[in-house]
Amino acid sequence: MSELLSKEIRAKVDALSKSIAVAHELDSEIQTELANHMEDKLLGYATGQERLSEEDAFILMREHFGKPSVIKSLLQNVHRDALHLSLARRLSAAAAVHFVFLAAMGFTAPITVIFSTWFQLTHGGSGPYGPLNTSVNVAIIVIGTYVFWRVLLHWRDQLRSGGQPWFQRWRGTQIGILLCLLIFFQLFIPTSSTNYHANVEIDYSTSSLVNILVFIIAITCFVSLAVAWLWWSDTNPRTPRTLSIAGLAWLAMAGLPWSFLRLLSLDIHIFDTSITTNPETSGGLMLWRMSDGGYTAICVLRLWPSSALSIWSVGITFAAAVFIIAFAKFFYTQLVRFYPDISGPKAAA
Amino acid sequence: MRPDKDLIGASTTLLILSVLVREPNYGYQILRRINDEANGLFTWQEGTIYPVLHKLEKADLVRTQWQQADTGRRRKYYYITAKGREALGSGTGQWEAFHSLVTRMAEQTNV
Repeated sequence: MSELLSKEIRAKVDALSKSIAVAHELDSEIQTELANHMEDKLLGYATGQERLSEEDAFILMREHFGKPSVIKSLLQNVHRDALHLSLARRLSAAAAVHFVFLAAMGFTAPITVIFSTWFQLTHGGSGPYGPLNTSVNVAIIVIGTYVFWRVLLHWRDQLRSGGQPWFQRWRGTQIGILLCLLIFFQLFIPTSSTNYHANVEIDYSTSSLVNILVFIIAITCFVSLAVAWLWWSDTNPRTPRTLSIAGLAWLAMAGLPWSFLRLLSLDIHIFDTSITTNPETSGGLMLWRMSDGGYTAICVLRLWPSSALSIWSVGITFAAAVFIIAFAKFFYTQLVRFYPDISGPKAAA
Repeated sequence: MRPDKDLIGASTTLLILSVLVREPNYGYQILRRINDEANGLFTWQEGTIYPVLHKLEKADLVRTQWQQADTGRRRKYYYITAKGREALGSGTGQWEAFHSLVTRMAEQTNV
């Protein structure tokens, strides 16, 4: 009867029976007995004499089906876009862009300051610091808002086409470290409103119409950023909980770095663009008289000064964030009424 | 309903001896007989029957003999001994006594 089994299977049976070793003087006999049993069982199954119970069938199915971990890995490779993209990952990705945007805004300060200093040194007078600063700030807010949307749309498209952006590939701890670094980096965002002497006359003059226009542009951009944030957090099927969590995350993000800075109350200069010059040739404006008789220009890179970050300014920032996110949420919920299919990063099925 | 593991363990010797008292047999066939009778009540890990058979052999409840099957393959047949028959009789008696005790007590407590 055993001739019905192939040589390969019989060799496997022998190997299996030999793996059950007891004692050398007994093994041969025991192994023959066990091997016979195994062969009988195999033949029983092969000829249909042995009835397959549900559990037997399950074992066979499992063995034929393959290792679940291997299959899972293969399927994940094929359906990368269907991988679960948690809200935490989506929010972390958007927060990273937001912090980079804030840093980019901050680093425009040295540009305006250096330009104004150059203007003052070459032409005399206070220079166009005020209008220049306003223009650059408005420009960076508009450009930043556009870039924020573009980045999120790019990631959405990447996910739809089966790509894996960094926030999907990275581990949670890696993303957490990146966010901590970005928050820490906010400490080093330069400010231009420092080291001006109290008596320095800076031309902040802009017409009220320009101020209103600047205000409208800035608020529109900030609301647009909040809407982008909500849109990015939202996925189908839509749940009110998701938008609420996203809104709270927005508020935390708006308040966290500034509260952190306020708590630290640091006022440490990291790098000063100290320009010592002759007051007669430079006009003496916008230059701070030093104890050595020279004049220093502006602090370009420093930790955020505590004096410029009062508890009021933190409070006002937070209150503005509450207003902006509330308005954005209202706007977005109205929008999804007309366009229910709008959703953020979820990939197409 | 699957019987308790300990219950199956306690009945193993009696079940094997019950098969062998009818006719001598080899491991695979003993198991098939028991499984047929059990009709899905429990499932044995088949390899585990051999430690039990070898224990019975050491206790002189069974004896063995290698025989040539029609197919030419050598099989180790198990024969029940007189001591085995005695053990089967006494074991069955004990099992019945326990069974009736448990049934009676369970009935009294309306389980």
